[in-house]
Amino acid sequence: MTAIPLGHLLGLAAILFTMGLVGVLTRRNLLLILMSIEVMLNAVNLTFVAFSRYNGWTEGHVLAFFLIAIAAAEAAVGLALVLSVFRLKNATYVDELRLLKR
Amino acid sequence: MLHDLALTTPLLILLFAGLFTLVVDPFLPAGDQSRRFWGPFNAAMSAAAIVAAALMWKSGHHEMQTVAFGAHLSASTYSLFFVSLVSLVGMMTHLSSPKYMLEQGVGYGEYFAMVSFATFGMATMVSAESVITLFISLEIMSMAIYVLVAFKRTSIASVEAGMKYFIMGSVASALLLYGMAFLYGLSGGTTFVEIQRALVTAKPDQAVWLGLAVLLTLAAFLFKVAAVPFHMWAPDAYEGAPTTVTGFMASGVKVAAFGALLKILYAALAGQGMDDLHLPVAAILSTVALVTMTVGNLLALVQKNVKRMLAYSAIAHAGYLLLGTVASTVDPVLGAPYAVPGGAVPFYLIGYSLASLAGFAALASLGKNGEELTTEHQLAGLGRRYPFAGAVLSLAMLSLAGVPPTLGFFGKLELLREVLAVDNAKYLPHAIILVLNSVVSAYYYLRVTVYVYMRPEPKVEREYVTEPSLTWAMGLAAAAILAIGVMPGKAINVATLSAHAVRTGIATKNLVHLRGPDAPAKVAEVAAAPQEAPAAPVAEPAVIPQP
Repeated sequence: MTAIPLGHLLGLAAILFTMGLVGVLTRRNLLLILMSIEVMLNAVNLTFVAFSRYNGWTEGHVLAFFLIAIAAAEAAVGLALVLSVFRLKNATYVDELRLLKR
Repeated sequence: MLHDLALTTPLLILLFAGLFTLVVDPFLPAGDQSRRFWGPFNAAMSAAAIVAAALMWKSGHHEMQTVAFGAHLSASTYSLFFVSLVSLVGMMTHLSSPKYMLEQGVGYGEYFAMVSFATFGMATMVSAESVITLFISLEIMSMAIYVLVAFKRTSIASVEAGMKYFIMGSVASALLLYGMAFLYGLSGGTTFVEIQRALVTAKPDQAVWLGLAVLLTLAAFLFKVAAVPFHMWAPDAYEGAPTTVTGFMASGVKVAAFGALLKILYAALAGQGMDDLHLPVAAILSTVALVTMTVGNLLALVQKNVKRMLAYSAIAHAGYLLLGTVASTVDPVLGAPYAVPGGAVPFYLIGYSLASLAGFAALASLGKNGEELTTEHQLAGLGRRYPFAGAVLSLAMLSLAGVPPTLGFFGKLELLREVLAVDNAKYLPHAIILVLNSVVSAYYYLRVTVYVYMRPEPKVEREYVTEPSLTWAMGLAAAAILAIGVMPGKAINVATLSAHAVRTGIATKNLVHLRGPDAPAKVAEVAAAPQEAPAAPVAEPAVIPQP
């Protein structure tokens, strides 16, 4: 069995991370921004697991579980905030959030 | 296991306070009035955490073994100092909040639970000895603060501030994690000790990856302390958040972020000194510091809203502190190649956080029925009508500006002294720019004082939210600013002792006894102690893919 080389996994993670970052910076919909943040976190997860897998370490796998839990908590807080914005503004676009810009 | 738990007593107290508040609050009778009790309760728990940390420091409990839970957490003098400081910030916030939050129409028990959780996160963050603990505690702190910023959920300003802070904060967290993933891949370990050991022995072909990892990690911390170019979120978040939360963010987050930044810089990323970082980190940090303090001060000049002005001033103070992080001295135990930070940054943080807390508590006391007085014109004549609030606000401004004999003055003095002591005044130009910036900042700080005392009162009727605990918070912070300002020696000593213990497991109390003729032998003994942590398998360069 030929394993997937480490470089491929790290490259994929880097592409995912960049996609997430670009998404946060360019998207206008708050929900899509949240999804982009999740993509970034999962790219990091992939990096951790890839390093662990290829070196026979264990911490990376453990960290991945922690990260999944943290990402879930972050999504909960993020969605609650989006809901608050929607209640007040009836929209979920960042362009609506310009009260404080001066 | 029990020993590990005993070492984390202050953290457990804070965690218990938050959990207890959250669980018991739903069973209290309906109505906001019964929720005010949570302020003093949580403040008392924070005070208990401070007492526990102080007792641990005094007893030398931590001298035996400072690391807990497999070197993921420590109770060194460094950790204990910062735990006490963030607990103090939490205590002041609890004291100043109950009446204010009630007046804003959000006097819920969850608020106090969130402040306690955030304080717990900060305390764990400065005690962290591994990237896992550091990241999880950072997230505990951040998520509680996102909620707190958006706590006034009927106000679009508050929710908008929370949303912006959340998006920017999550990106910073992801950057930090990505940096940590590379550190892990290169060192094979997650604790600072293992990372440091791996970085010292790193091969040249790993340098670029190390540089990337260090850069990503630094960027996340620069975001948390609101340094230019990652400062854009700060003014919006500070202005939109409820005033007591702004005070909590401005002081607590800054203390925790600088506590963790100093530790990760010196205990993990720096191999032996600042030059071992595979990246000119000292140059980057000092340049960012200069830009940050200048931009912060210049933008603060044109603000009319005092909350927003204090946000820009917080950015400027982050600049001063960043310059302090590069002021390293030789490790008093391990000797020449090893560097530790001086006591200036911890000491400066005491003065800065107390002044911020006093200022925001005074602003919080001037509001009723969801209305706040935050612009300069609204504050005119405050000193005559409400002498106490006016005096505390003015004192906070004087301390932030660095006017003697306040604590802020000695903080800046100590900072300048240490910055100039590096390498035959290598940072002399930086120090000069810092002084010039201080002069500029005096203008906008004193302008508030001028409005408070020398401008006629506007026609609008205003109310002063009186409450014993709020008065206590303002009085305590003001008294501490003056008292430590008059006698700064002891506080500087404590700050220096703690800063010198930044490396894992080496308690400074040991170090003090180690300056005798038989020091070298003892030094070797103490230096060997942290090395006993389970040794990481020596990692092959993992980033470079093997065919």
